Amino acid sequence: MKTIICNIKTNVFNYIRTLNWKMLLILGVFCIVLAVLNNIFVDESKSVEWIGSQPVLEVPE
Amino acid sequence: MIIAIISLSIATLLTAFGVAEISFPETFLTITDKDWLLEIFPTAWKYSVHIGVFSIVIAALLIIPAWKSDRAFSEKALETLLRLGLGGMFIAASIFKIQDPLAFATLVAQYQFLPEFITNFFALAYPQFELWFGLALIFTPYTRESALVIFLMFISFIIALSWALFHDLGITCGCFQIEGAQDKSETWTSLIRDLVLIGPNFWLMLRKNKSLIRLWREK
Repeated sequence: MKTIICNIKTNVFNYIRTLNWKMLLILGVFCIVLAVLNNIFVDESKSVEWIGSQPVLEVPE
Repeated sequence: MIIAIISLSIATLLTAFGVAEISFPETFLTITDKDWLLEIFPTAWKYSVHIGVFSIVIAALLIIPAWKSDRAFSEKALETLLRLGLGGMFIAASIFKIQDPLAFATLVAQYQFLPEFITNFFALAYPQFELWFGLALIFTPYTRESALVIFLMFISFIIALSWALFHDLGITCGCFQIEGAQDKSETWTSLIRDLVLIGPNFWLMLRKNKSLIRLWREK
């Protein structure tokens, strides 16, 4: 069991090392910037407050 | 190779049918939407998840003869189909959320899962991740990275839907439409769909980074 867990750990670490983190970071930041722009330029009736939540509706029967 | 093409074509059709059957109960017209069947088996035939899952199991079994007849071609074809299918699905799912952030934020709030201060911003950013990583999965060579992010999104869907089911919140995922999202009967169908699709996505995470064009050019 211990060997299996060790193998999984090693495989996960090896997998993480093969990823292109630069691409992930750039695309992630790009998505957040677009999210901000979307909220600014979308119709006012459809935009949301930056911080906060929406009301919780009643659960249907 | 002909056997592989035929098997994979049928498997693709069955998978598309199966996913649609699970995702859009009542709205997608199928052989099971018959009034007389609904009268006899109201629940089973209204949510024809069993037909969808059966169809996907058959599709998965059809990969075996394709794999045996031409493994290299089957791998390429499967990777292409999965990248187009999963990427396309995430792009389609993101559009309405980007167009109407308020409606999606309202939907996210119903899960009562995230801290209140972050719910709105999460609802703003999440669809952008769906759109751009869906596009990246199809159009860029970064298969592993895009598939990993999509995998994490699947995990988040599964956790959120399980949470909704466990706490009986009376909501479904609202993955493709806001209307009718307050319907607790559909929560478990969305959960089954995500559990089915996370497997092929995991396989994509382990593939080599290649663009679709390069994938087919290389021998």
